[in-house]
Amino acid sequence: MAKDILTIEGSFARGIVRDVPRHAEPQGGSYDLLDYLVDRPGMIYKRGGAKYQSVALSGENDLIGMAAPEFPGDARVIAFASDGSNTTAYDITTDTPGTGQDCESALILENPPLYVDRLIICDGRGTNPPKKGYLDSGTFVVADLTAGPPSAKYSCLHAGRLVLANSNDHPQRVWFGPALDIEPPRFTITAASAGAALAGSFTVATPLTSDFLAGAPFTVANSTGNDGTYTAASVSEDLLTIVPVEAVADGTGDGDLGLCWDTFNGYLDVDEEITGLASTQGVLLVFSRGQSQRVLGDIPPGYGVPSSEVNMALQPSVHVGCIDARSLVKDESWVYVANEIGVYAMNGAGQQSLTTKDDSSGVGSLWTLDMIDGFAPALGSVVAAGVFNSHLFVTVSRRENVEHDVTGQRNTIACFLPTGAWVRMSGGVGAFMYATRFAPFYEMYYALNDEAASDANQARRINDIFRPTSDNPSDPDGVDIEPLWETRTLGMAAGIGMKHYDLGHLTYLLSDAAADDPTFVVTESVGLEAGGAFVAVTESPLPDTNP
Amino acid sequence: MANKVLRSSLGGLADKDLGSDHAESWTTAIIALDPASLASWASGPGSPGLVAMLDASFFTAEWAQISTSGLWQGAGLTTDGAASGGVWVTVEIHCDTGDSSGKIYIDGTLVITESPMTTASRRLEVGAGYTGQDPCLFYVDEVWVGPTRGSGAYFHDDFSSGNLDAWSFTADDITVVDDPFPPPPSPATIVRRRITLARANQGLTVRVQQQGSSAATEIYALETIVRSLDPGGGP
Repeated sequence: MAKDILTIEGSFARGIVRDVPRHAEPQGGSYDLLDYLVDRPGMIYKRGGAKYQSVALSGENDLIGMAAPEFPGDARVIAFASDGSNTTAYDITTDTPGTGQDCESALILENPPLYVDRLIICDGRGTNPPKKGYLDSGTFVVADLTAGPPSAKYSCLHAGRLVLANSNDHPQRVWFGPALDIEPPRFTITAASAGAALAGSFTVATPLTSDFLAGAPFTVANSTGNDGTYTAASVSEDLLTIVPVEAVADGTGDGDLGLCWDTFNGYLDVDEEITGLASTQGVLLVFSRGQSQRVLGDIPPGYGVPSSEVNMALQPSVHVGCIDARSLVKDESWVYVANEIGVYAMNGAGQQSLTTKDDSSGVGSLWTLDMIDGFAPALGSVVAAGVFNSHLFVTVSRRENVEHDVTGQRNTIACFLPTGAWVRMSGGVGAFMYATRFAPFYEMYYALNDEAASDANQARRINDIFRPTSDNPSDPDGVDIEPLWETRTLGMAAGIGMKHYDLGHLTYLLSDAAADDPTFVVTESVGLEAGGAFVAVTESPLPDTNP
Repeated sequence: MANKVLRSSLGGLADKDLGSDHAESWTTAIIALDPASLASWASGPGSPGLVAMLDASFFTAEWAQISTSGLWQGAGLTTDGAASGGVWVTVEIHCDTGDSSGKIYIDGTLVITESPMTTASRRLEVGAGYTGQDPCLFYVDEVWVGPTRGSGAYFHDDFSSGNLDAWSFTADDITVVDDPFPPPPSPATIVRRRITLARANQGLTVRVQQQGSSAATEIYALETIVRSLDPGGGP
């Protein structure tokens, strides 16, 4: 006997589900959600349009990086722009961009970290040592980071130190910077005693800092005949005189000295080329393409620290790698990272996949088949991530890969972190780099990942996508946001056989922004896996819901 | 259907002969000023007369225009009340030879009184009938003239005809167009609308694709009643 079963698609909490057949998708799952958000219970709602943060940066092709450094009491928004050959940093905190700061063609391959008042800018080519971006009397400027850091591609702040990794000569190496400041203070030399190894000395005007240990490297600059790198042999009790291991050539008391990076001793080597660094809960995570290792402890080797006191040690690896350091982003106690398999959350002790879930309600196949397949890191091929408003945004910009028979694409998905539900975003949200800011207000900025777009040299901000109104029915380039929802296979509780779907009711709100008269085109496809063409239902298109 | 309005630009003018002289007249016009034109007028030249009542010899009894500082202004160059662009306002011109005064009301409030005014009311003219200023654009939604306030006994046109046939003559760039400043839509409500789904073997998938931009889009539920026609499990 035939029986009627009422089915209600009224929960959308699982977001997109792609790892099971459509007919096996659980309640709350949808096959597709484009430009819908699922963070409000019992409904899906269209995202609003993003907004421009900056005007077009004249003479620049596109933006390759973004940062929102919260300099003490003076947070700024910084865009890294490329004209095709050079990289220039602009302060775009206000409508009027600051004077461009030359970054010497630096390729920004990570989300730049901030150390108190200095933004660290590594060159992803490994050509130049890192630079710093800082405020000089309120003006953002870029200069070389002092104290002789290695020409590393990646950086992070860990245990109070600047950590650098992967140079062209040592792609597997992690260097640890000086302890008290990433740029140790310089001390004025008031006297020098020329002498052979262990027989000369320098006397300074003010006491040296406590990290001038025997064995620590330091440099002398601006002196008469003594400029160079030395190793401390001993320091007087009053901390005013230092005897180097090396000879002191000249007895003129001028110039200055200060600690420098101990690139000879202050490092650890991992097994593979490093692709990113992250620090969380006292653990340093060192990523390669196919694995990650963690470093415990807070006293690195080098700087004259006796080996018995060194407590940093490499721990066994897990096979969660990092495909692009721009996908490394921290929020609360988690580090999020993307690789060829999926998107993961790590906390230094363990990891879990956000894309592939234990109950198969994830988007693992969407990630591996539609987004990352054929991806190879290169100029314009980028995986970037950012966290804002409890959502993790992940963008894959993939150039054509003939070998894998995949075309160039740009795709962005967003995960509502409290529930792990994923949705897709159309092209107005997608970035080569995201940058989240907390002060003076919460916002996330991004550099649009479309070099071909006419507004590729304009930064955008994302907050308004969570506040759709008649003011932002479109993205700032004028492209209307036209969301799409595609259901799982309906009515499977009635079995797989012949069914009669008759009465259907869609409960919705579709509010006109002006006089655009938006509609819902409702189509249906029969079969277990929507194998047939989508055909419009009789009542389609459904009108807006303004009286 | 979109509301039709008169659009006057670059010397555009519509003239209506009321047929006889009237000692007293009330002219009411709902007009909207182009924001760019208003900004241009307010930065120096002022506007030409936008709505005017004249005698049989085209001598002005009273008119409403915009001053060089963006205020409403009468034919005697009395000014008061800042004008706004991009919104519909009601302009009333009261010409009365009995008390020898011309008065202008904006949205019901008297802003200008000028005297002496002894000119009889015979011709209504709307439009920016002066070609020396560009931009010079404004719109008229509806206009009527009568012996008492609010009356349309002498003349009335809401431009719903889509033409200016009711007028005595027109000149230059004056046309009837869709309302460029439509009121915002009424607040949307959540609705539950029926859709007729297919008879299907095995399963059915529904896709809902929005077309056109919206202020807000929310979906709460898709309900279906499914009748199994093959409880045994299929052929």
